Order: sequence, then structure tokens, then C-alpha cells
Amino acid sequence: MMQKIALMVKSFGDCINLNSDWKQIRIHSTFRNVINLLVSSRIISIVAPAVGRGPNNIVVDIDDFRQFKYINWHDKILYLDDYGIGFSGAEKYDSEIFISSLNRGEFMCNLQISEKVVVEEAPQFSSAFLLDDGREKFFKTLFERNLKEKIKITFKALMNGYFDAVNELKGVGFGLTPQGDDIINGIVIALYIFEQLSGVKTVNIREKFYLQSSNGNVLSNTFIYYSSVGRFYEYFKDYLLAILSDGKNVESVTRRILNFGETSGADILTGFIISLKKFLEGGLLWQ
Amino acid sequence: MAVKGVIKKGEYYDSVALMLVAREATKLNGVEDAALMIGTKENKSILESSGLLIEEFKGASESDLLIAVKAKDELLAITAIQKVEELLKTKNLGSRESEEYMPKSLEGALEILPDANMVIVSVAGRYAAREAMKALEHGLHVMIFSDNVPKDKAFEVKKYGREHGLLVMGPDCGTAIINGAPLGFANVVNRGDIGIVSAAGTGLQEVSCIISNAGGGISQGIGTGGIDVKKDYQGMSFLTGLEALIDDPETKVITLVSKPPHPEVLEKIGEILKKTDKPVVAAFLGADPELVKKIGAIPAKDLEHASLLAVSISKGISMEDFEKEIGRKDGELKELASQLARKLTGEQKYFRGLFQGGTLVYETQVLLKDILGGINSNAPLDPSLKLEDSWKSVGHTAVDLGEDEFTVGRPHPQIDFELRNKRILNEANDPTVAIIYLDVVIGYGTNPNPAEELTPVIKKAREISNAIIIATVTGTDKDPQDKAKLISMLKDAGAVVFERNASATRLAGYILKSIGG
Repeated sequence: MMQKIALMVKSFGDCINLNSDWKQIRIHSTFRNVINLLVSSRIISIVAPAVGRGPNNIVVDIDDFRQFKYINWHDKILYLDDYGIGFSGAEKYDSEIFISSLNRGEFMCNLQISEKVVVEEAPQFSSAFLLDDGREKFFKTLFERNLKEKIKITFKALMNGYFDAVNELKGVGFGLTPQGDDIINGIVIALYIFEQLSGVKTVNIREKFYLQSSNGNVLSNTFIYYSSVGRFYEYFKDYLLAILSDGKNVESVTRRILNFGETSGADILTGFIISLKKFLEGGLLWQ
Repeated sequence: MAVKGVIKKGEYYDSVALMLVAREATKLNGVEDAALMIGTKENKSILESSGLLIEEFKGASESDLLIAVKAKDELLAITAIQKVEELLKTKNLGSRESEEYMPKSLEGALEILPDANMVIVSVAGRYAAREAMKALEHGLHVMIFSDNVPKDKAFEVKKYGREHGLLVMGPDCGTAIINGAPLGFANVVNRGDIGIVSAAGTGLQEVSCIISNAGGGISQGIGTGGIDVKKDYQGMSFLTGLEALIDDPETKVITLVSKPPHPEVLEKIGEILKKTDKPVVAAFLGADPELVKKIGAIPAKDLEHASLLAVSISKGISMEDFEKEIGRKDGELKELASQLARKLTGEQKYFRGLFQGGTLVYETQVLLKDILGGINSNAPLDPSLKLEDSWKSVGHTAVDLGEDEFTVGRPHPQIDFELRNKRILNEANDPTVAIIYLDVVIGYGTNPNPAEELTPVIKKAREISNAIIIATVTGTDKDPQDKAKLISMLKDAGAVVFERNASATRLAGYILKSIGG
């Protein structure tokens, strides 16, 4: 017996269309703080407040999502097990960013501070070795070294203008969102910010990145998609606003991203920092 | 060489979890390499270049987890795969668990532990003060494990702590025992009514272990880092720690441990001691006992003396009985010394101490100074006795292997025995060496198998030379390394073993004195 509304949403992302039909829905993966739902070919995540808001996130005040086994869409109401999820009164999260003005010198300084935090504090197995080769020492076994080399070679090729290297970088790595995917995500975010800073249009290349890197990993595809259309998760939006404005909290917002999903935050930041610096020095690398 | 693998369908794991399990797998018997990855085309190519790709993997999809192991033979590979699967299960690393929030910042940690009142800071020295200050501003006590914290920053942090009644243990505080929890390099000791404030890391370990082994117990063990009692820092953390113990109803006896504090700091300690009736024992190694008495503390000759004195007071044993017992034990030491000295040849006359613990090398020099005169060292009591080359012993020598010159690019000697092991054999090859002296500090954070690392080298040294090998073990029976077994193995290897550095040092001194060293 389904209950009417039992779970109230605190906020939901501006890319979630509440009026669409979610008949094609199933649970993709469940974690303590997140349930990822596969809706058509894209992910919508129901998350705990600690995860934060996002373009496709529905924030609900729940301690542990692992208790839920079923998802259902009935009579225009979304159900977790028998609990209906109510959206009335929920805040709509605006995932876009608006840059009013920018001091280039301050921005470069903020980027530098952020890079320093990543180099010092990123998890050992993250791709922060691309920022500081002193971190290569953490990769010890033959397999680990091969993995590191693969990331290094393909990333270098990509940064040298060889766009097809994206095919080889996508999918490289271990977990839910492999390191290669997160680095690509960082590059796509950098492309968006570069457009905001320089006025050089990057929309086509961002779309190309998304299309070329799309594979069977629907979670990574979703993340890269939202970055490619300039929609950002709360922590990353806070980070972008901090480095693009007064720079007050650069260190703390960088650390918040490093807390994201083991190596993911560090990998995204690595891709973002290196590529944005490169764009700012010499313009777009790919046509 | 055999390569085996399995495919786990629809299971999701975080990167680090998979990498750590792979690391653990490579430590299994006969395993050469291991990998756990999702089955993307690119990952398969990495597996192939690592010799870990098996035929079955070729059809795996991007949502599959691939587990591959390369081992000496098929059986070992299969066993390792089973172990990996167990590790994934037992460590709760599966998709339903893997996003367990692991904070990497103070803010994140406070979200999941809002009632915490203490923070341990262990980051690169130049960032440590910033993190510590953040914690202090949240009203939290701090232990700064990091060293190389800039002087002005360390001062600022300590000053803030002092002004706000918050403990700042460190910088470079490697040891503390707070509410029974051993922090950093620390031992599992009995809980009790003796509180310690120490500006000497291994000193706190030695004192807390002797107290615990003698039947006493520790209420709190507050470390401050060695710099705290110097003039520049005015004992700011030491004084806050002392006040905390005075206010602590569980603490009945207070023990202070340090190299001699700066006179201004000593005076400040004295001011605070005026406010308490609790008995205070002070082991200010090498300090004038009259000055210690003047500030209202009971002076102890060394760490052993301080510890046993504190236990005696805690248990209500009279001073007279206590001193009698100490005298009896000293007589036994002298007798043992004369027996051991008879085994030495005329050429053998020098002491060679190879230390893991900074406080212990200091204490040994203080005690041997009284018996033998000066000892050469890389961390000498008298600057004129500084070794020109720390890697080479000259005359009587005591080397602190924890000094920076020995630890650049390698772990602390309490963890990595390699350097000292080589040096033991060097000393054994010197025909003028009478005593090779070793400290073995056990407990959390130190080498998990000291006996296995050290005893083969002691045996080898005994084959080369008839020098007396004296070892002192700092630890308790509750420590993870099995202290009793360690002592028994050291004895079997031919070492004379003590559990108190002061006694071991006195034995060495008496031996050398009896041969005219």
C-alpha cells in the first residue's frame, strides 16, 4: 500500500523536469548517501544533504538510502519503496553560474592557490601526479605504473591537440567514475569557464567532448553532459565562484571538492586546472 | 606464472577501495601483481600490457568489475582471487558501502563528529599551523603531529591556545594518551591516577610504560613537543597541560618530563604548582635538583626514577621503602656489570649507542656523563662533543637515528630498522667496541615485527664480536608487538635485555667503569 507523501524534498536541480513521464525508471546504484536512478538514459540522483545540490540532484533529508529497495513512478508521484516523495515547497537549485566581472591577476592567483591544495592534499591514487610528478611514486606495482602511464600519455596527447586521445582517456581507471572520465569532466568545465573569460565560443567542442566520450558508463556520461552545458554541482559552483571572484575561500572550497568520491574530486580538479591554464596561455587546443 | 581472473557483474566500487584491495592482494603468498578494474576497453588494454588480461575479460562490459591476479602457480592465483573477494566483502567496500563519507577536511569531520573536542593535525609542516588554528577557532584542542612548522606560526597557535584555555600539543608532538586512547607513537597502558605532561615524545612513552608495567596507571599523557619549554615559547602548552591535570579529578599524581626547561619557563611552572596540593614529580633530565625542589616539585634522577616515584606515591608506598628498593636494584646491576666485564678483551673499551628514541639518547648521555664523562653524539649534551660525521662513531658514541640527517627519504628508525641494522654490524666489526647499546620502542605506529628485524642482526653481530649487546625495550604487554616474545627472542639472540633505559644505561656505565673506560 503506497503512502501519499512521506519524504519531503529540500531542493531539486533545475535540470529535472517534474512534468515529464518517468515511466522508464530503475535504480542504477545505491550508496549510503545516494540513490542513483536511471531515467531513460540519464541519471537522476536522490541524495542526502551532505552530498549537496546539483542539476540532477533531489536532496532529501535521509540518513541512509541503503534501506530502500524499490523505485516506482505512479500517478505522477515518485516512490522509494512505499514512501512518496513530495516536491511542494522545495527550493529549485540554479546550477548555472554568472560571472559579472573578473580581475585576471586575482583569478590566476586563486587558481594557483587551488592547485597547491590539490598537489598537497589530493588522495595518493588520484591523477594529481599530472600536476606534480613527485606524486608518481605512489604508483608502485607494474599494473599501477601502467595505469598511471596510460593516463599520463593520453592526457599529454590531448593537451598537445590530439583530440582523439579522449577516446583512450575515457574509461581509464578503477571505480564508479574512472579517473579518465573525471579528468575529461574537468577539461569540459575548463572549456566552459574559458568561454566565459575570453569570449571564445567553446560550445561545439564541449558537445564534441560529451559525444565522443559517451560510453556505457551512464553515470560518467551524465556528469560530463551537465558540465558540457554549463550546469554545475553545488560544490563545484561554489569553487568556480570562489576562484572567479574574491578568492576568499579558495582553499576550503578546493578541499570540499577533494572530499568528493575518493579520487573523483581530485581528478576533476586536475583536469580543470591544467587545461584551463593551457587555454588561457595559448587558446583552444582543438577545432 | 599463472594469471586468473573473475568478473563481478553490476558491482560498483570506489577507485581507492579497488586500488587498496589490489595492493593487499600483491602482498599475498606467491602473488606478483593484481588488479581490480571496471571492464572498459581502455582498462582491458592496461590489463593486457600488465600481463593480466585473460580471455574471459574480453567480453566483459563497462559495468562489470574485473579481478585479475598474476601468481607463481594456478593454485596460488585462485587462492588469491578468493582472498580478494573476501576482502571486498569483509571490508564492506561494496557499492552499498563505498560512499561512506570519509572527511578530508575539518569542516567535513565536524559534520559527522559534531561532539569531537580534539583534532590531530598531520599535514605538511607549512600548512599545519593553519589547520591547527582552524581547529582552535572551533574551540577544539589540538595535537600537531607535523614538524617543520614555521616558528612564528607555531608561536601564534600556542599563544591562541594558551589564551583560550585550549591544549596545543606540538608542533612535532608524536605521542599522547588522551582519555585512554594512545595517539601517534604510543603504547597501550593501564588507566590510573598518574597524569603526565611531557615535552619529550619517547620520554612520555618510557615513563607511561614503566608506570604501567610497575602496576600504576595513566590518567592522561599530554605531549607538548620539545620546543615548548624553550625561551621562545615560554612553555605555553606545557603550562596549559599542567593546569588541565591539576583540574582533572582523575589525576592524583602529576609527572613532568622534559629536558631542562628554560629558567623563565621553570619559574612559570613553579607559579602554577603553588596552586595545587597534588604531588608533582619532575624528570627534567640533567636539571639541577635544587632548582626543581624550589618550584615545589620532587626531582627525579631519570625517567625510571620518576616513573617509580609516581607509582609509589600513587600506591601510598613510603619514600624510605622506595629508595631502599632502588638501592637494592642498583647493587644487582653492579654485580651483573662486573660479571659481564670479565668477558671483554683489553682492547674493548667503547660504548656505542644506536638509538631510535630522541629522549632516550639524551637520558643515556645524562647518565653516562656522571659515570664516564662526555659522550660523542650527533645530538650531544655539550656542543664540543658533536660528531664530525654522524655516520662514524668516535670513542664513546651515542647516535640519535631519528635526527633529520638519517630520516631524509626514509621512515623513522622506529619503523625502518635497516639503517641501524647496518650500523650494528659496523660497530661489531670495530675491535675497540665493548658495548653495543640499542633501544627498541614498540607500540602503535612503530615497526610491527621488531624481533624478526633485529634478532638476526644481533646474532650476526655476536658471531663477529664478543662485544656486549644491551637492549632496552620500551613497551607494555598490551602493545600489538608481543613484548614478552620480543624480549625472549632478543635474549636468545644474545642480548642483555632491560625494560628501562636508565637501568640499561647504568649497567653499561658500570661495565665500562670497571674496565677503566
